Amino acid sequence: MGLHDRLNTLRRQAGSEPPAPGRTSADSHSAGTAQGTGNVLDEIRARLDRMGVAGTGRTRPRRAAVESSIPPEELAKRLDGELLAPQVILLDRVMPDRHAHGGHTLARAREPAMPFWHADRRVGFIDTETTGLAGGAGTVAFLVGLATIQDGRIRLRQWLMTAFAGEGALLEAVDGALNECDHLVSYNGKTFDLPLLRDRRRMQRRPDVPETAHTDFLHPVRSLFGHAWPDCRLRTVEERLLGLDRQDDLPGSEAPWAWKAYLASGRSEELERVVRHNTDDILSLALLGPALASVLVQPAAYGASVEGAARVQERLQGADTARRLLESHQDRLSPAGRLWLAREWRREGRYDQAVPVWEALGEQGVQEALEALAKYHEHQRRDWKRALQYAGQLASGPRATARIARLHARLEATAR
Amino acid sequence: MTEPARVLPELTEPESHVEGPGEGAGARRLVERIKERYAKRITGELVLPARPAQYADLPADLDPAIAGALRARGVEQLYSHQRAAWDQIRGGQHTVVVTPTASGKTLCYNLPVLQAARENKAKALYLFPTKALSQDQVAELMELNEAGDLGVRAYTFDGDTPGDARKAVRTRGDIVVTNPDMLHQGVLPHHTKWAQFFESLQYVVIDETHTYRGVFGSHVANVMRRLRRICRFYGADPVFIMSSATIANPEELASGLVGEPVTAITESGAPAGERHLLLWNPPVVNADLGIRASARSQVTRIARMALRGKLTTIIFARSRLMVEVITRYMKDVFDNDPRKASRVAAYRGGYLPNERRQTEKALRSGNVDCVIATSALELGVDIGSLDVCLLTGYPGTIASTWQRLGRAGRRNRPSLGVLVASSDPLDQYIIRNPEFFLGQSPEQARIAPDQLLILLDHVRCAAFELPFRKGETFGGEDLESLLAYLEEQGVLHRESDTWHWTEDSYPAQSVSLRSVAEGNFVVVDTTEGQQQIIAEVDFSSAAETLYEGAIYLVQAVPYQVERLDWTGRKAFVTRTRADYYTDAIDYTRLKILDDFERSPAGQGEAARGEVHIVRRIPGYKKIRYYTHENIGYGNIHLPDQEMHTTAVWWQMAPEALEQRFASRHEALDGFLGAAYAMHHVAALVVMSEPQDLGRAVGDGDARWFATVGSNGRGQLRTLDGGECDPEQEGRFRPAVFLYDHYPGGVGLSAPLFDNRDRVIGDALSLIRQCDCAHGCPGCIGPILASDEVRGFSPKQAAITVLEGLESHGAA
Repeated sequence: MGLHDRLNTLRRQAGSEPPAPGRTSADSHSAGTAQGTGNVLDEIRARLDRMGVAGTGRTRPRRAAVESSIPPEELAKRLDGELLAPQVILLDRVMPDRHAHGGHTLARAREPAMPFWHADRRVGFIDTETTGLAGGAGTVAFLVGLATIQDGRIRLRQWLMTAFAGEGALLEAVDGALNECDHLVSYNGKTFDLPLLRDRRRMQRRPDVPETAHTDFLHPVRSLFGHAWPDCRLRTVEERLLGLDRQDDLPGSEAPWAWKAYLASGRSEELERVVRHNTDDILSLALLGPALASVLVQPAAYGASVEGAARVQERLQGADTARRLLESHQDRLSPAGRLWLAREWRREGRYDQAVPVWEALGEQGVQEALEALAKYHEHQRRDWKRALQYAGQLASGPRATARIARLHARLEATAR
Repeated sequence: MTEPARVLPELTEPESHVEGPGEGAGARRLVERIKERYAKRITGELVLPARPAQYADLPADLDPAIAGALRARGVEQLYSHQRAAWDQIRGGQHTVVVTPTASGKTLCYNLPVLQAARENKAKALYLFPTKALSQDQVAELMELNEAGDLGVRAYTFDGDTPGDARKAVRTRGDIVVTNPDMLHQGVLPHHTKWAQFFESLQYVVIDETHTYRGVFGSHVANVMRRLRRICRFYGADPVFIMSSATIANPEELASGLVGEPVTAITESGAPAGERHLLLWNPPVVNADLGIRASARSQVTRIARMALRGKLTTIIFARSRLMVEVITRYMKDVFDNDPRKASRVAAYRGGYLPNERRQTEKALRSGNVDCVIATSALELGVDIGSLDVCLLTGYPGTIASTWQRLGRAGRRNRPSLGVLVASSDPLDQYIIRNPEFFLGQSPEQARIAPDQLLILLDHVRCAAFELPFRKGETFGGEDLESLLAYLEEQGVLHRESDTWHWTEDSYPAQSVSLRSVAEGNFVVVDTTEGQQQIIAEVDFSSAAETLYEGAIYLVQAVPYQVERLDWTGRKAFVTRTRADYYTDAIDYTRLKILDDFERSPAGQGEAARGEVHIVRRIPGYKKIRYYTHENIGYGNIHLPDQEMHTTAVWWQMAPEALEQRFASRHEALDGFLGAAYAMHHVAALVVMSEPQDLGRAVGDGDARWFATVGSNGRGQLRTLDGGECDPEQEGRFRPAVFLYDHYPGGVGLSAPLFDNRDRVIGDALSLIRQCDCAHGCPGCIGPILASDEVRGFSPKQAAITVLEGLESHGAA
């Protein structure tokens, strides 16, 4: 047997180990030596399809189709772009203000996005499409999109590799454009896109670019809507906040397949759809700043968590802003939110406001409230008896025991 | 972990002064008492005289801070092998240090690594086969580091390392301690995140190198190929420092793992006390069936004597279950007073790390007198020195036996090791042929890194890590063909002279380095709604022991298998009162596809080649105790297991067969018995577990195969399982096959063929020396039918087969 046949046979046996019980074994008698090499190949192909091209039901790209493939020049023309390097297409567009994206036009991108970034920042909205979602050194970003605001309008640049050999040129161009930005905005880019680009630079032996300020919208979206929405994917955010319903979208998870199809057979329809998908993602990012900024002001109006909004505000603007937000939504706060607000009031010495909150929660047996009341009566009011009443309701534990013992001692000392 | 050379006043005295009349003489006294009382059970004895230390000066170029750290810990000089390692490693040679347990191997690699870290911020990667060893290492390094205020940072990186700590490990660790599995799945596929580390990687340390053999070792050799490829990408070419227990071919194994010549250091300069070794065979309790008293009962007896003589003792047992049983017996004797601190402890896998650390500490500080352990304590976990080491059964290899025996006698005082044989054929062979064990150089550790499936797995992983370029090499096969194959499969994409990964997957995830060893099944007792694990069964024997309906015996207590979860590797059982046991019907048939080499063997022939094996377990028999009558059948629904692999087989010329045997039935029984004995001695010869090899008796054309029937006699069966009569067969050429139990083979058949005469000779002496009458599990396998029923002795039939295959010139 040649190497090829030996491999096929061996892999099949390794794959059938361990055998699962209950599977019919009727067909396993055909010893795969001379006959049935084609069957073995089919089986391996089927397994590969399952791994790489999950659930698409499309026929696999075949080498035979290469003749009908379109060269990069032609693809560039179709996409309305230019060849930046032999294997890199650049699409560089300034988007018109009137361009509709969901329920908005792109003009909205000019609205303030505070507290996420100041109007004077040179913001870049970034998103990549990759050959795999698993991460690791074998994952390549074959498409990088970056939008900037130029003279008040959105300029979208997308760099598309048409072959692996183009990666160096692509990264060089991307890094040049990133230099124009001092604040990046992404969706899950902190964990995925930017580390991936850093890894790719290392693979291409390129220098790292300095880290810039970065807003990853995934985190505020989780704080605001994580409790209410089925998931926090960008698709969901767009639908609910921007009113965007993508027609004929190629899901990002199929981007690896589209790129592979282009490489193997030169068919470009799917790749063109990936470019459109990336465009939509980035335009959404540009509109999400103002949209999420509005949610932060009036979380309840958008069904967002007030406490979540306060957490985002606290991180971006500080505790005072968070407190003011909580104050303006007092009647909508969860017990945790009310405790938080009471904590803020106590910090400012506003016990007249904090105590009623604690008392209300204490009646429901909320431990933190009871403890706060015990402390308040012990240290502020020096009313040992009342303090002891609250301390007595605390769940037993070393801290509660110590407090109770101390209060008893104080009571006795006073009595004497 | 190790005992660095400490030049303390009393140790510089002549050896004879070390041991006073009271202290230390205990082991010697125990030897005398055992020999007096149990002379008949001792089949062999060895005394290794005490060996003084050989010292060498600290290297002149050793960083003064490191020298200071050593002095702070009482080390003024190095042992000679530590110094030799320093010189060799500093000279840039890949080095493997092969010295006994507790000879200060750790310092051999720690010194150059620490020096380089301080000299030029060089990094080092430490690989240990288990997590427990990694943690020990980091602790040891940290002690030295603190003693000299060296400022070197060592971190472990494994599955337990929290996500937020990983970045610090990658960027700040001078020494990263991990295991091959983590390197394979967690580091290499993410090498870009480790760029800084790889750029300055100067040393790779591989401890316990002898554990990397067989399938696991073949995988690890490929992981090393990938590691070195990544290092080249970052412009690094690290020196490999390895340590190994004593095996016959350390240089060969180390070179095979690294892919470049490695120089061994084998002369230990560490001192050793006088060591006694006794081989002990339990007495026969039933001569008819060849049943001996259990190894367990003998070991507990010796341990009681040792403990009463105030000798600290370690007992090794081969299974976790056996550890528990012996612990119980020992505790019943020595820990029966609840007011006193316990003197007996168990140590095995499955215990929580904390628990294990406590036991290790108690052992070091002398608070525990007796520990019962599995192989978990064989590798270099620091437990201080003990006086007596008892092995419940032969550990399977000579190397591992010495490794375990090394647990006793770490300091300069006499120690005793006793190897107590079980009734397994391997044990019986060793114990009756003490020269095999005592005179023999230990086994060869073999790997087959170019095994096609394993190689292909790692070519995929490597392609993911860095695109392959034309002209690159990776292993011994033609790389371009492998790449072309993967390209055809759509896994790789070729672009001019480069192959790129194009799958949306992470190949290392689906490749397990321990694919063969990992698949153990657990047996879960669900009696009365509980869920308790009562046993483990390894993958290769699961199909024939854990089928639904099987009676599974634990300590002679019968359980019935209710459900087998094959993918989850669990068998659910309940207690039963059945008066029968079950025996799986195993139809293994084998077809010779190609022969690579042939050679005459006595009146027959031995050959090596490629075979196709189909194993089917169609059902089982219920057999009543004592009467052995067959009281029913059950079906087993497991698919056939098919395999292409390599095998060695022996066939006898038909004329010789007719001349030697009265009937074909007799010949068949002879072949089955001979195969059983050959299988076990072959495992010894190629340093593998018996389950790494498979055996079969058949005609080589897959026309028929032989199996032992419920009456204990050989039967001939055709492909579909129907019985046929050997006397009616036109051509009758039975053969014994021993095959490599891994698809494609992992290189076991070649050394087996090279040692074909030894397999026959050793099998013959195993059977001839057995005390049983007509055959027993210690030689030709269990027999049921008595001599009278057959009209001949199956034991003699097996001997006749082997004699016919014996090459007199060679032996």
